[in-house]
Parts: sequence; C-alpha cells; structure tokens
Amino acid sequence: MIETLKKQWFVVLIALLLVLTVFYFVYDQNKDKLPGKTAGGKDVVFTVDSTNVTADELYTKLYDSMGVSAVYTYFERAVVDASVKTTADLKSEAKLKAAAIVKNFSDYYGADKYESYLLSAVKGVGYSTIAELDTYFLHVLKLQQLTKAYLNENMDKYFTTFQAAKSPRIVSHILIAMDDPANPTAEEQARLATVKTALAGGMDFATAAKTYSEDSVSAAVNGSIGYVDKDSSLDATFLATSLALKSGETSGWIVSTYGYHLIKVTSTALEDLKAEQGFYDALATNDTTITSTVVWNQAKTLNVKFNDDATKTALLKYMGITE
Amino acid sequence: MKKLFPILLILVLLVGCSDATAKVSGSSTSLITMDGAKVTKGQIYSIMANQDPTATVLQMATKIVLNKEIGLTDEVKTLADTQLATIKTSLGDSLQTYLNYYGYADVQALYDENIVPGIQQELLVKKYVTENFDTFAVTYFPRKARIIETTTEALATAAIAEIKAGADFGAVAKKYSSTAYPGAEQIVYSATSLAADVLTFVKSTTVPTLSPTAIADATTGKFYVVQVTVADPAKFKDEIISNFATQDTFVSLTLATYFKSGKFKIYDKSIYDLFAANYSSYMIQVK
Repeated sequence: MIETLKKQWFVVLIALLLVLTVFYFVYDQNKDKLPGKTAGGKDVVFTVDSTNVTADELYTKLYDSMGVSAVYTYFERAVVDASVKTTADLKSEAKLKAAAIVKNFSDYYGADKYESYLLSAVKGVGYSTIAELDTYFLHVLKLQQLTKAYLNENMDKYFTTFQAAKSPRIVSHILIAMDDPANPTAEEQARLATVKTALAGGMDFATAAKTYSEDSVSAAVNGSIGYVDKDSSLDATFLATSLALKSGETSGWIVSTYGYHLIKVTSTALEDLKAEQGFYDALATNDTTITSTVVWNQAKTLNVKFNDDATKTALLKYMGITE
Repeated sequence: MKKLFPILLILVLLVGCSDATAKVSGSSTSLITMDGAKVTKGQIYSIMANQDPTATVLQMATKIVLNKEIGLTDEVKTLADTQLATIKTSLGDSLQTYLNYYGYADVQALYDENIVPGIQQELLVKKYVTENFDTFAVTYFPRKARIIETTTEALATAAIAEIKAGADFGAVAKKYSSTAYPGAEQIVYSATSLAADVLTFVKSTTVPTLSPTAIADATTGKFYVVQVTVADPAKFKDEIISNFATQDTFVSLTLATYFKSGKFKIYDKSIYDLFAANYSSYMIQVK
C-alpha cells in the first residue's frame, strides 16, 4: 500500500488537493446559511434552555389566535379558483393590475425601497412573494365576477338599504387647474369663462369636459370619474357637492386644492350603476356578509367537506353564516 | 479513487442547500376538500407564519425561560390566586365578557396564560435587578424626587421661593403645578419619561437638593421645579427593585439576558429574519 502510494505520489497529491478544495468550497458556500434542526422527526423552530419548540407546537399556538382567518383565506381562494375558469383575458387583466400596483409602490416609496413595503402588503393578504401579485389579482377578479353575478340575482335584497345609506351615483366633472385656487389669475378666470360660455351656448357637459377639462384622465372619458358614494375618498367639498346634486344636475364652480370644478351627476339609476365595478365593490364592502354568502354558496356547489366539525363551525361563525 | 469522485460530487451538490425552513408535520393533510380544490394544514401554517409570528415565538420562549428560572412555586401560586380573586371581584358579571374580549377560553386559561406568567416575569425581573443592583444604581441613577411643572419661568421661580421660605412642597405644587405633576414623591431614573434637563439635574444630584432655578424644557416651553428627596439608592433599594420590576426597560433587559444564557436559537430563516428585526436584543445567534 505504502509502496503504491509512493509510486503514485502525484496522483495522491492531486486527489488530496481536490478533496480539500471541494471541502472548502462546500464550507464556504454553506457557512452563512441558517441550519435546520429536527427532534423526534419534527422540524424545530427554536430552542431555549435546551427545550425544543417544534413547528407543530407553533402551529397549535398560532392557530388559537389566527387559525380561522387563515383557514378562511385559503377556503375563499380554493372556492373561487375552483368556481371561475382562468381565461387569458383574466390573466392579462390581473397582470396589468399587478404591474400598476408595483408602479404605485415604486413611485411612492422609491425604486430602492418599495419592495419591502410591497412584500409586507402582499403578506397582509395571505401571499408570500411579490411574484404572486398576479395570482392575487386573478383571485380578486374572479371573486368580483362571482359577487357581481350573485348581486345581480339578489339586488332587491340589498339595493334599497344601500341606496338610502350611501347615495350611490355616477359623477362627471370639468377641472380648470390652478396653482393657487384661492386667488385665480386673470388668465385662469378667462379659462373658467370659456367653459361657462361653451355650456351656455348649448355644448353638452360631456363634450365640454372632453374639450376643456384639465383632468386628462377623466376628460378622455367625457369627464366621468365613475362611481361615487358617501364613502368615496374625494375632496370634502367635491364629495359634498356631488352628493347634494340630483341626477342630471350640474353644480356651479366649486373650489378644491386642484382648482375649480364643475360637477355633474350623470345618473343615480340602478341600471347605470350596474355598469360600474365600483358599485358592486361598494355593495360588498358595505355588507361583509355578501362575500361570505357568495363564497359559501359556491362552496356548497363544489361538494365541500370538512375534516372535522370544529373547523366547519369556527369557519361559518367567522363568515357570519348561519346554516 | 473510483469511490472518491461520487463522494465529492455529493458534497458539491450539498452546496445547493438553502437556509432552513421549519415545516409543520402532516402539511399535506386536508382540512377542507371540495371538487377540484383543498385546503391543507401546510397552507394554513404557511399563511400564519407569514403574518409575523415573532410575538408568539417570543411569548412561547419566555414561558420556557420563566418556568425554568422561577417555576410554579407556592409563592407564584399564592400571588396568582390573589390576583385572580381581585380580577373576579373587580369584574363581577363582566368576567365572561373580559375573557371573550381577550380570547381566553375560560378562567383557567386566563390564570395559566396571563396571570401566572405575569407574576413569574415580575419575580424574575426582581431577581435580576436585585443581583445587579449596584450596577443599575450607577447606570440608571435612581432617585426619589418631587416635581412641579409650570407654564412660565416666573411661576416656577415663585414656587422655588415659597419652598425655600418653608412652604410645604405639596401645597406649592397644588398652587402652581399642572395636574400631571401634583408634587408627589416618585422614583425617577435615567429612562423615566421626563425633560432631558430635569433628568440631568436628577442624575447629577448626590444629596437631597432643591433645583436652585427653574429648569426649562425648550421642546415643550414648560418649566420645572425639582426637589430630590433621597439621592442614595441604597436607602430605598426595595422600592427601586419593585419599581424597576414593572418597567419595560428592565423586563426587556432581564429577558434578553436569560434568552442569551438559555442559548436561544432559531431554526427557520423567515422567523429568524423577522425576530432579528423585531427583537434583536434577545439574540446572540449569528445564523
């Protein structure tokens, strides 16, 4: 053996160097990794005072405080996903919404900081990574589809109460933007007069908005800002004026931080409201049992089965469903 | 040589090992099934673990530390029984509402999960503060002091003049001070929430002293009159220990010390990262 090693000393040397290199490489690549631990076949989350606490024990403890809401999150996701087919259009719309959210966060927090805020928001709605935003919005769109179908079939049950409480309507406006709305310049006053003259001369509100409004987003759709109700996040004066007008009425000039606005309530009719997704979202937000009912009704059509009665009882209680 | 290469290959493949993630057992067990979908135990664990479980981890680890260091002694049981009796008396018919609001299944759960750990923690902090009293006395400068807060310097100066002339501090406080500072004697130390210059005066005082002039707080525009009544911590050691035992500063300091001596170590990367961000003082682990 010794003789062989002596004869093959160069091969032995190379083999030794290879072994050492591989060991060092493995050590170097793993030295910053967090090691795992198991005890009695179970994964350990932490140890203190030589006591192991396993993922099973943490699961039980966490389940006491947030288990039902976690079960509901996955239950809703599973029901909705199994109920609505994923189409190319839905995927494309979800992708657009996800991209818009990423842009919003990036613009607001800055390109170098937004990811941690966005990840926190993503985790808040039950997902793990920013890459899952598409999946989240796909779920939202599918749920909206189911909710809309349910509400269209059961509108009588919800609309009258909702209308009395929230004054739903569709609103358009014309904005003349100003740096200091409290002190309009002569040139700004001239722009206001141009709009008034056009309307007095018979130009309809939609055309005037398209022609003169300095809110480019709404001007592109005849001045429409879409669905508005008492809970809408709008300038206080703008919202109060919008809610005070009857269907078809137009306000005088009102002042906001953006400039001067003319506001028109385009419609308060149910059939027109039904064209706005914001209307269905507001109905579902106003009565949280709507989403629960939609999900539970769908679940029943999917032959839902629970592993144990306790989970079912806790989930239905959480959803506000009485069977 | 022929055997060497496969061994080395396995070692190289191990390089791909990632940071540890603790998984719940039976993660594929279905809690709910339906046509075309299911909800599993693993999914539920994952979503709960994503919602920052570090407060729960801290609570569980603290319970282990408290049981080891203090345990369920007769002293703990007696104090816990007394506290439970007080709660029952003060809440009366509202006890069940209280239990529901705070998520306790029953009175026993309140006793086991809240009252007993609370008492154990206070006893542990007392033990720790007692053992380190001499260090804390020169680090946190505990003093007994009375404080008057006024809205103008003139009022504070007038108060000092009256006290120097022999007026009772409490009576002067009643005349000049805001309701937050009624002039009662209190334990003050360097982490007490007071104006910076008030704390500087208290810390620098080694014998009972009345502030010779009004102490201004530039941030609030208020003025203070401070009388240090006991400057030697050894003269009110028990009171300091009882006081410190309920202060967050010393609770955190105590638990951090026992977590470190108990070799607290986490074996899940996402929990490790969150814990390091939220409770770094409790950790000595560097992966």
